[in-house]
Parts: sequence; structure tokens; C-alpha cells
Amino acid sequence: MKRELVILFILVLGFISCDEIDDPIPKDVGQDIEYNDVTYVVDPALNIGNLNGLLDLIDNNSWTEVNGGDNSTERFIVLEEFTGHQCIFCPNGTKELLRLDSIYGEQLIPVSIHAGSFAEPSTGKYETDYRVLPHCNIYQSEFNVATFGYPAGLVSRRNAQLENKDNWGIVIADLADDVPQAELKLKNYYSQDLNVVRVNLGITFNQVPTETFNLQLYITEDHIRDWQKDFAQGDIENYDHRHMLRKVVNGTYGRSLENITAGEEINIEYILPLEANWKPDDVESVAFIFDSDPSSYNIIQGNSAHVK
Amino acid sequence: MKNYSLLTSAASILLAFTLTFIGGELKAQQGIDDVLNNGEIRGNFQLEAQYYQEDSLIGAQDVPEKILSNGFLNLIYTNGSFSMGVRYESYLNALLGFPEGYRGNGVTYRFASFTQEKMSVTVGNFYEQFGNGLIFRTYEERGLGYDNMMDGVRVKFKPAPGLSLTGITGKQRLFFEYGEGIVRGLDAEFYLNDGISALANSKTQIILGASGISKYQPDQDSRYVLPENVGAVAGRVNITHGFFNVNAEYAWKANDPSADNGYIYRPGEALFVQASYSRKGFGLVLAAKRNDNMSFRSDRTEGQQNLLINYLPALTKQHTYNLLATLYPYAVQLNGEVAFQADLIYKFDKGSVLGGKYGMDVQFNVATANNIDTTMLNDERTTRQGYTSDWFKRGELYFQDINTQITKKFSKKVKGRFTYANLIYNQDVIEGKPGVPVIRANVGIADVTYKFNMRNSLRTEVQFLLTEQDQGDWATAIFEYSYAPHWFFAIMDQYNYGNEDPERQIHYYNASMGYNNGGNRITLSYGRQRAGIFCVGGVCRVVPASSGLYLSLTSSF
Repeated sequence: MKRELVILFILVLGFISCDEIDDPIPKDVGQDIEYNDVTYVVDPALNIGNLNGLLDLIDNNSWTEVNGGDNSTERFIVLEEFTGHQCIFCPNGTKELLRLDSIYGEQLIPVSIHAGSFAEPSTGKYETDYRVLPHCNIYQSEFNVATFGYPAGLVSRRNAQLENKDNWGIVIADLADDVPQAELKLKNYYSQDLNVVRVNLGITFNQVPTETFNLQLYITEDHIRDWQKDFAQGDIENYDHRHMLRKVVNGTYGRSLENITAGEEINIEYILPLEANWKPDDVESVAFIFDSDPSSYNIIQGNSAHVK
Repeated sequence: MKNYSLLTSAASILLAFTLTFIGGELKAQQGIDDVLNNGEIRGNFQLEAQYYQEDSLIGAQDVPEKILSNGFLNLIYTNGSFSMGVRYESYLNALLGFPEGYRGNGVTYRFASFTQEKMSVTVGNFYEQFGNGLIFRTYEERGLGYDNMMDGVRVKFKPAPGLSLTGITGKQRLFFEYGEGIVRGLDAEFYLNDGISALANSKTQIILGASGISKYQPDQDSRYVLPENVGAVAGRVNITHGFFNVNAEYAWKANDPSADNGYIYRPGEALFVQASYSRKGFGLVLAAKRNDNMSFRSDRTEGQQNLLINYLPALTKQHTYNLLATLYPYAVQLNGEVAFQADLIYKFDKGSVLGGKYGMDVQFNVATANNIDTTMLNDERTTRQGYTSDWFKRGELYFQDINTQITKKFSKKVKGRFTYANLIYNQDVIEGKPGVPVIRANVGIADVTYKFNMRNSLRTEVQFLLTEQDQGDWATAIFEYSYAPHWFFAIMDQYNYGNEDPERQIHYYNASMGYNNGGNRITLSYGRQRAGIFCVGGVCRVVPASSGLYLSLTSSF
């Protein structure tokens, strides 16, 4: 019996797998600093850990301002295109994305996400890795991009379903006249001296939602010239890669929006440095609000603006 | 999103399972006829339906569907040591007050189970509890819309005399889907008097138990590094000696940041101790409980009653009289609570001074619940432990109920039950209404039944709830005529006569009738239903005001 009790004790302990977390704050996401009803989230690379450092950064540098569009009465739509530089059919997807962009203007926010095997780098022409890891792999897996096929796109993540490029326009037309559930203001402050951008986001819900929503912030870069495979033209040198996802600023699934009150603005400002090899003139911040329920992921509002 | 298969396909699969896997019980030559002849099917059906009428005076909202209904059918097939079953549920749409997730039809519960000597296996859905439930309890409370059943595998094994092991793994039900998290656990219970020969004839019966539960949920949060696996352990003892019984359990839970606790990483713990003494005509139960940060769900983002893995028992009396049960009932506070309860039952014998000719039962109950003591830590950006707590101090009072009940038969025709309760109810905390004052109420109830003859009786109930807070004073009167053994007819009026707003001094009238016969019961009622709170075991559901015709139908075979 004694032996059996020992075995039993070991069995019980074996079932109690648990992860002890000593440092709950992620190293790669800035910590919150609250000031004047604004939550500032400063990239750890800037090494600012307190309010004094934050105020010094803001006050002692000059900032140019660029505003995003006015979506107080309009639902802005985010088109996340999954692509890859070795995907021969993907340039057709990009053409459709640009066609729609020319129709809808600021209401449509295009993002090209390089993900999956077609985006993997290889020696020679395709050695550059444009994937934003690990996030793009998680998105690819979550939305089953590999089984759907390229080019594929999420139109404001409606029904968490990928759409073929031929359907993008149909879905966008469906969503374009929706009354927005929330307004998402976006304003970029850019410091050329520091090559740092402050993305200020103001979120106002018209009604207290029953769902829970997350706020996501991307950085994209336009007009990246590099090789691209194409079905008709083979390997294209200096292909114009458009609206490429460069950074997922606040985690794969963004930041949960809490304590939502109807009509009251939630103000969050992300402060981050741009990479040295990004062209500030072509860099945009893209923000959107989405339903955190994995069966939905519905993006209810978005906005974007060039950083300078 | 998970879809449930139709009843027919589920039944077909389970029948195939039966024929394929119960070889241990069936001889090879047995045919389908033998199987069917040995089998037994039991079942029960329940339908609750209401036709809603808009009633702006009481705040009863308009229901577009006009009629809402909840329906259930359970079918259990047993054949020797094998059993299987299904439950079909229908919410078209769910009655007001039930969670929105209950919408539509489907087979929500299906299982197959067999026992082979020392081992019992269940696959599919099952309910299970380890000890007092401090770290694991799945159960259904239909009146609350509460169902956190498992879908997975359960194995029970008795490796040695007195020793029982239960292992489980699965996901939990969330309305018509399952939660994201995976729950795994093991419970061991050792009945010493069976396992140790020297104790076989002892008057002291001892049961020891230990259990562990672990849940897994991916970390998709960018703000915090979340534990994907969260473990909890518990140890318990149950000692019985003559008229005495002591039941104690301690549970500990590792860091489990969640929406409930504001994503703090402080471990949780709970202690439950209950001692009782009972002999003929006398019973005393003393209980104490302390739980600190013990909300434990298989989805850290969930709230309400969704996907709770554990159960923290309420140390309050479960009242049945309407005003007392549904105006200010206590809901267990998962984040922290210190609670005590004493329950005394005494029966005055027939022929004694107070007992009189027929005897008299007296019950006295005291229950309190306070917040735990907390000292906040300013560590939101570091370890996020949240607070420290002194075990031997109590915080703000949440609830207090001092009540007594006397049950006495006065003659062959007249019997009565009289209840008095004094309540203190922290509405701010319990109902989440910041700034509202603490409610202090006195409740008196007289429940008298007059039996005209063997068939005919009239029960009269008069209730008063007196308070200067909230909606003020209430009174209720009920007259219920029974024509045994099948029929009853009742009328009720509940009157908020003490409301400060004269326009809110509303009568909530209701008339009902019912018919019982064998396994069938039909109840029909018409009238107003006051908004209130319905609680079972400290788990509560808000019931909105409604008006209309209500039908309840149950049948079993």
C-alpha cells in the first residue's frame, strides 16, 4: 500500500503541469505609462522606463504631424493580403488590391503580409526575408492560408474567412456602407532626428459593445523594390512591393480594449523607432479594432496614415 | 466553431459503439436481439415556455418572438455494465434572463460508458467533482442556465481496497460550443478503513483525498507573458466518529492571470472546513471558508458563469420563500471571501411544553461573508502580485443573514411554518452597483396550511420584507388550493408598497394551476414576474421582469 500511495502522489503531481511566471511583462512590448488620460506604450528599444523620460522625449524633440482619415461616420476597411515573393500568382492579387485602393481611397487600408512557404527566403534572388516573424506564421496558421491558396485576403476579417481576390471587391462593397461601431482616430508624430514615430490612437465606441475588442497596430512600408516571381513574366527584378507589413507593434493579437464607455475616447499612444533601412516617406502606421473572439476576428474600424 | 451532430446520427454512432466495444460483457454468440432484450431505456422531458407581453410599468420588455422556450430531453440506455445517453436541448429562443449563447437546437450531451471489473471508462460528455469542488466541479443547474460539462475522457480505477482513482481530460461546454482550454486532472481518494486492516472495525471512519487539475490555454496576449498551463492541487480529509463529522479541504492554485482578477499573478488558495454533530432531534453544522483569488476558468478571458472549472460552496442558507430567495440572495465572490455559517436544528418532542401535542421543529441559522483583508501592492509593471492578505483579518462585510424558522403542527387540520430573517446585503459588491447603500432588511413569513380533508387543503403564505434602502418595503400573499393527488390552483400578489416613488408601488399578480399524474407534471401560470436574482448554491442569474403566460411541462419514464 505504501508503494501505491507513493505512485499515486507522483501521478497527481504529474498532472499538475503549470507555468510559473516571474516576469509578467513581455520584454519586447513596451510598458504602459499613464499620463493625462493617455496610455503611452514605449518601445523598450528607446529605453524609457518612466514618465520623466517620456516627457523629455516628447518635449525635447520636434515632431511633424500627419492625421489619418475621418472615420466618424464611415467604416474603414482593412484588406490583409497574404503573399510571398516566390508566389507566381500573387502579383495578380496585388493588382486587384491596388485597383480597389484606387476606388475606395482612404476607406480601404491595404496590408500585404508575406507569409508561408512562398515567402521563405532562399539563396540568390530571393534571399531577403520579408516575413514578420513569428506573427505572420501565426496569422497564416490561424486563417488556414496554406490550405486556401495564394493570393488570399481577409477583408476586415469578415467571418474570419479568407476570400479569393475575385471576391475582395464584392465583400468590400458589402461593408463599405456600414455604420461604424466605433471611431478610430490616428495621428502620427514623427521625429526625423530620432527616426521615431509616435502613433496616437483615439478610440470611441458609439455604444458599449457586448463583444470584447482588441486594438492592433501595424507598420507597413510601400514601394519596396526587390525580386518577385510572376506566372507570366518569370523573375521580375525591381518589382514594386506595395504596402508590405514591416512590424506588428503590439503583439500578434494586439491589445485588449478594456473599460469601454459609450462616447468616451480611449487614448493610446505607441512610440517606436523606425528601422534604419525603412524609407520614412513610404512608412505608414495601420491601426484597427477587431473582435477578439477567434470565431469572428471581425475588424470593425481601421485607420492609417503616413508617418511623415 | 463546433457543431453538434443530429440526434439520429449521434444515436447511430453510439449504437455502433455499443455493438463493437462491449465485448467484455457480451458473449460472442449473443445477437442483437439479446442485446436489446437486456437493455433498458430511461428518459425525461422538460419544457419551459412563456408567452411574453410588454409591460412598461414593471419594465417587462417587448419580445419580438412573443413566445420563448427552453426544452430538454434526456435518454439513457443501460445494458448491464454499459450505458450511453444523449440530451437534446432546444432554445427557441431562450427564455429571458438566460445567456444569449443558448440559441437554437442540438444534441449537447452524449456519452458512452462501461465498467470492467475495477475500471470504469466514460467517453463523451460527463460531469465530475473532486472533493468539495474547490478545484474541479462540473455540473448542470438548468434553472441558472449553468452547464460546464466536460467533453473528453474519464477513467475511474480502483487499484486496491479503499483506493479510488479518477482521471479526466477534456474541454468544457460553453453553450453550444466548447471552450478553448483543455482541462486535465486526477483525483485519488483513500478510504482508510477499507485499505488498512487494523482500522476495519474502527468506529472512526477516515477518508483522505488528493487531487490535481491543470488547464491549458494558449497565450495570445501581447501585454503580459501568460502561463499557458495553470495547475491547482487540493488535499482533503473526512472523519466520521459516531454523531460527529469533520470535512476539510485546502486548495492551492498557481498563478492564473485572468479577466476576473485583473490579470494579477498571485497564486490562489481556498480552505473549507465543515463540522457537524447530529443525533435524533438535534443537528448542528458549523462551517468556515476562505477563498482568495480562486476564480478558475478554462478560458481566462471569460466572465459570468462561463467555463468555471471549480466551485466555491456558498455558506449561506438556501431560502425558498420568494422575497427572501430572490430579492437579496448572496452570490459567492470568486476573487476573495471569508465566510462562516452556523446551522442549528432542534426538534421539541411531542408532549413537551413547547412541542405540544405534535412536536415542533426549530431551525436557527447565522451566515456571514466578508471580503478578505487586502493590502494593495504597487507592482503593476513588475511582478503583478496585486496584493497581500492577512489570513486572520476580514475586510468589508458582503452579506449577513440571521434567520430562524419554526415548523409546527397545531392540529390535525392546521400546520404552519414561520420564518424571520435579518439581512445585510452589500449590493454594491454583490450586484456590481457602485455607490448604492448597503441594504438592511427584516423579513417575516407565515406559511399556514389548512387541511379540509384528505383531498382538499389550502395553503396561505404571507411575507413582508421591510427595508429603508433599495426599493423599500415589499409584501407578498399567496393562496394555494390543492385537490390531492393531482391538482393545485394558486394566486399570488407581490406588492412593492414601500417604494419611495408612488408610481413604482406596483402589484405583481400571478395566477397558476398545475396537474400531476405519475411522471407527468404540467404547470400553467399567468401574470407578472418581478425582476430579481435567482441563486443556487451561491451561483446566480439575474431574472428580468416579465409578464405573460408561462407553461412548464415535465415528463419522465
